[in-house]
Amino acid sequence: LQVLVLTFLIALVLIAIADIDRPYQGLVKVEPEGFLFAVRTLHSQPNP
Amino acid sequence: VLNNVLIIIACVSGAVLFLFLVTRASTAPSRRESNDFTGAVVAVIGTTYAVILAFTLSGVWSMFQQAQANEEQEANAVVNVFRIATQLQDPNAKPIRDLCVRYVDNTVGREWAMMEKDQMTPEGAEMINRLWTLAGESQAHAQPDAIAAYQLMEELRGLTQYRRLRAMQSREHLPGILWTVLIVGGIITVAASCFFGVPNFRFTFCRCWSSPS
Repeated sequence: LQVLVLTFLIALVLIAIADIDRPYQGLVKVEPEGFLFAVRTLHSQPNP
Repeated sequence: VLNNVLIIIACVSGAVLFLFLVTRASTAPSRRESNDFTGAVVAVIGTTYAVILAFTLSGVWSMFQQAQANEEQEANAVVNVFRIATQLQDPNAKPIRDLCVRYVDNTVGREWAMMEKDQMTPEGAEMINRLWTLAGESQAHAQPDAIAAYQLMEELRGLTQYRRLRAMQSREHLPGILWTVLIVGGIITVAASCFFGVPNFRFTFCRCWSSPS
C-alpha cells in the first residue's frame, strides 16, 4: 500500500509539473483573459 | 486527461510488478532484517528527491504565474497604445488604432489556438513592425503631440517585449536533463521503498491509515 501511494503521488506531481511547464498548452493553461478584456474595451471605444 | 490517467496507471502497475518481483526474489524475514538499513537509505533518497521535486514544482508554478502576468501586461499595453493614439492629431492615429484592434482580434482568435502547437502567427509580428513604423512617423512630425508620441513609443516598446516573452514562454520548457533526474529519482525512490519487510500486513495497513505521518 505504501509503495502504491508513493508511486501514485510521485506520478501525480510529475504530471502536474509537465502540465504547468507548458503555460499555453494542456489542462492547466494561461487563458487570454486580458486580451478578451482588451477586445471588449477596444470594440466599445469610438474609433472615428 | 486520458493520457495522464494512463501514465499514472502505468507507473503504479510498474511499481506493483517490481514489488511482486522483490517479494518473489527474497523472503519477508530476510528483508525485515535489513529494515533499519533500508529505512536509512529511503530517508536519504526520499528527502533528496522531495527537495528536488518541490523546487521544480515551485519553479514551474512561478513561471506559470509570470506567463499570466505577462499576458495581462501585453493586453494592457495594446489598450494603452490605442488610447494614446486617440489623443494624437496625426493622420497615422487611425491606422494605429485599427492595427491595435486587429492585433487583439488576431491574438484571441488565432494566435492562442496556435500557441497550443508551440507556434505564433506571423501576422502578429508584422502588425508590431507596422505599429513601430507608424509610431516612428508620428513622432517625427509630432510637435504639438510630442509627449503623447513619446508615450506611444514607450507602450509599443512594452508591447514588443511582452510579445517576445510570450513567444519564449510558449517555446521554452524544462530541460531534458532535469526530466531525467526527476524520472530516475522517482524510480529509485519507489524501488528503494519496495525493500521493506513487513511483519504483519494487516497491522501495517491499519497503522498507515490511522497515522499516515
